[in-house]
Amino acid sequence: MVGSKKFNFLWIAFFLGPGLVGFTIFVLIPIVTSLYISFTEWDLLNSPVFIGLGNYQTLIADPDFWMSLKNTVFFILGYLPSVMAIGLGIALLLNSKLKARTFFRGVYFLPVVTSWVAVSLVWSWLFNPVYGLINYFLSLVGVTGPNWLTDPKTAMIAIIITSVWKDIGFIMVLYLGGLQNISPSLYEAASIDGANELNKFWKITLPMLQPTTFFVVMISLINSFQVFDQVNVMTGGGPGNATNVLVQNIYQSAFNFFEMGYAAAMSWALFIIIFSVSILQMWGERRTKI
Amino acid sequence: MAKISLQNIAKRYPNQERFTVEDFNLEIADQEFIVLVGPSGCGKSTTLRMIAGLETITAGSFLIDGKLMNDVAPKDRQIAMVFQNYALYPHMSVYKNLSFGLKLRKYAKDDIDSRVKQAASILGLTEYLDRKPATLSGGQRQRVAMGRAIVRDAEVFLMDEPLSNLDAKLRESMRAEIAKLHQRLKSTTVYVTHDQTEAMTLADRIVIMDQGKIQQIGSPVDVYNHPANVFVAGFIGSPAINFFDVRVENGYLVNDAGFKLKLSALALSKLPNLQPSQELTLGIRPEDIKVSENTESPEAGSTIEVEITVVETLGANVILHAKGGENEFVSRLNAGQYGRPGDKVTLWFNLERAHFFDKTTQQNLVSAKASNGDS
Amino acid sequence: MKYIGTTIKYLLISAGAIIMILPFVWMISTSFKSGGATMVFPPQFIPDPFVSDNYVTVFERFPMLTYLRNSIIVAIFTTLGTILISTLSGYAFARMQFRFRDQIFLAYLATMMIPAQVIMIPQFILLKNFGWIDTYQGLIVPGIFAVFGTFLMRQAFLGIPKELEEAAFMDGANHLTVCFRVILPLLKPSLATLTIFTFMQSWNNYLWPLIVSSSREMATLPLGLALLQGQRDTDWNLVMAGVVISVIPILAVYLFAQRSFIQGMTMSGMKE
Repeated sequence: MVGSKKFNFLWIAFFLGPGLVGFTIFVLIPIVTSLYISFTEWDLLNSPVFIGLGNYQTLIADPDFWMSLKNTVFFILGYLPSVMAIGLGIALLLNSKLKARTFFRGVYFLPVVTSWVAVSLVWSWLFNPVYGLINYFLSLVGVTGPNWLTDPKTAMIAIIITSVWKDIGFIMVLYLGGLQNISPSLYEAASIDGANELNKFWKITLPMLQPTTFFVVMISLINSFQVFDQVNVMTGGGPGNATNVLVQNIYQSAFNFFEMGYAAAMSWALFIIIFSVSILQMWGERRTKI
Repeated sequence: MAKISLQNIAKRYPNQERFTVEDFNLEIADQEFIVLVGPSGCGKSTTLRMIAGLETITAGSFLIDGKLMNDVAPKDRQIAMVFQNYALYPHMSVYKNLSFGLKLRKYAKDDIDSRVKQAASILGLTEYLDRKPATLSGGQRQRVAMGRAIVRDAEVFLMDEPLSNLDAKLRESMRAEIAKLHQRLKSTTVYVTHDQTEAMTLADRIVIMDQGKIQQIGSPVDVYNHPANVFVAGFIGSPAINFFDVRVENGYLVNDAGFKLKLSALALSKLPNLQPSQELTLGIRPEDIKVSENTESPEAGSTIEVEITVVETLGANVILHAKGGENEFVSRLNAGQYGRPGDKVTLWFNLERAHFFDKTTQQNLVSAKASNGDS
Repeated sequence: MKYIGTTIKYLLISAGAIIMILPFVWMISTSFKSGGATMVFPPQFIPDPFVSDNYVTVFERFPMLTYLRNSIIVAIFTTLGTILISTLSGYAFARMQFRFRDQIFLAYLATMMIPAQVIMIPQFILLKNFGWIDTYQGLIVPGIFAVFGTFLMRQAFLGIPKELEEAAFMDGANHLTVCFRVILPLLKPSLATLTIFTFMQSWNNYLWPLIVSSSREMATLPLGLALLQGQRDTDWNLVMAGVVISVIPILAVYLFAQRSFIQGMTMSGMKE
């Protein structure tokens, strides 16, 4: 587009300016500042004291950090495979010619639009050891249910169950999108080649879903390393430290104990973990492709 | 009144080494219909977009009626443009599509209304004014796109492959309509196409481009009869001209791959100043290759024995593809029976209508001067 | 054989659907129970006695109205701001030529990889310096500049053929006209997606209000709800009434615009 330079600059400033200024102030500068803060000791009352890599050294030796990382990994190991398997299963069921497909899809997606806080509260109530629905159902089959959220052995499991329930719809929708991208002619060709339903699933559906699976794993991993809302509402990281996950730890360090520098260092550790896992996953994806 | 002058226009995109358009010189007279033609990527659309103001001009001067327009915004150039994909506003009715530009230019309401209605009646769109573009046929959309240019009474019309999205039949009738429209409105028009038929039928003058450079400027007849170089000769004409590598030896035209033809005195006189054994490219149009009726040649030594490979019957014409030695020949003949694939025939070249090009420079040896008639 | 397969499919899908629905049923059922009826064994599905007092009590005992008002204000202004900024920036990145455009956009994208927790500490300190802690500005403004909206709108703008805006320029339009009158009307689906997605994000957000709002006066619904169960003995019937109140608006929007919801979630690949 031709026009006078000054005039063009004004237009660009008008369109890009507000966003760029906000982005700089509220995103870019905080990122840089965060890095700086992580090299300081700072309780918000006194001025920050530069301590170099001190926080990171403390971090490596801090059993609480490793404990929260372990809890996070435990959460992921329970959550990720279940939510993916169930989500894919529901997507496969819904992908066939089914009456009321849209209705079912809507139902499964319902928890996704509900807030974590609401879901966490409802499930806290469901997990109530005495009057909760879950232990009632368990009692029907003769099992005495545990004190879900107050027992260190079961608290994380309860959080995993809640999270899986909330996210099934999300994973399902991603997989439905992937399934719809598979050309029906592939299945027709396979039928002519004499494949049965099981062959088709293993030889066509699953391989063709690989890009979707890659995306799902990536997104779910990133999200689940940042698990917080449900933990904070359901257990607050307890009992003891049984469900104290990384972000809960960061939150407490920063806003309960006002160790800003240490919390920032932990948040960067979280970034490095997420970043490395993503890179690893991308590398794995590329290797299986070739 | 709109005379356009393009002086040494060049375009280079940032981060690109090659010039997309280079050394482009063209004077367009008022009311003239200019067609820019060439293969895709030759720079014709870029040139048009520079005229429109949609691309900046890297170097050179662009003037309308003597006024330098290089840095003038598109809307201030008194130019209207028809886009290849029409670029109709999908959410506006035909009426609103036509009136949008007038409204933005703050025309009076009645004025807008009368202009839109007039343009609609010229283009036969009156009954579609309330429709959205999506409900129109391809031809109707094309008309709306034209209409958007017409309502503004712009002094210059730019058209970027306006017919390429239509089917063959519609294209032909719209072509005729564009010609009629131009006769009626008499706006200076620059038209870009890769279709040589459109170029030949519509243009006052054709500008043939290749690799960012003008190859030849001239009237349709001119560029057909006096192609300036091998590229133009090959680009204009369908079926394409035949090319052969030749040398002139002792009054004979010698092709190493299979033929030797005697040059008549007239043909020879068109080839002055030849270096001994200079490499030439012979260009001869399909209609200038005939099948010799009798086995006796019309002139001794000027025929070639070939074998027919394909016969295409087109009603009025027959296109004969043949092989002789390592050469392939395409000949356009009047309707008739000439044989079947595998049959042997004798071809005769009308060498007086042949074109001779220098093999290295690719330039026409004979009529280079006569055909560069853009002054 | 085929019938059996289909029947099994329906059974599975329905069983799953019941599991998805049951917590919602339980939530609504509890919200209509008396305090005593929540503590009986076996649990009641149909509340007996059926009481609707909880919906009054929860407003009396807790500042639910304040929470509700705050949530509405924050969600609406965050959404409006996000749409405005995303549209302007998206247009600039997709449709304008300027130096370092692609580099700047790359910087935008790169920040999407940084987890929110990295940014939240300095953001908190920044707001503290602005005096924005416990204010609407603090709750709203940082959210407006989320990169995702710009990214989504840029993609949407890129999907519109360039000739359309060129035609508009030839017609005498300026960038404002091109953006808002020529192109934006064609991007209604993307706008709907962004609107709904941003609204939902903001409505459901917990972590950010948890950091910014220090008083009950400035708490949003999710924050307020979490406070409801703070007591040692939680009145679950009241809490569930509060939860129902918080969930109804978003579910109502969801019922009307399911498609945009699902699209928004799929595109963002983010949850909260």
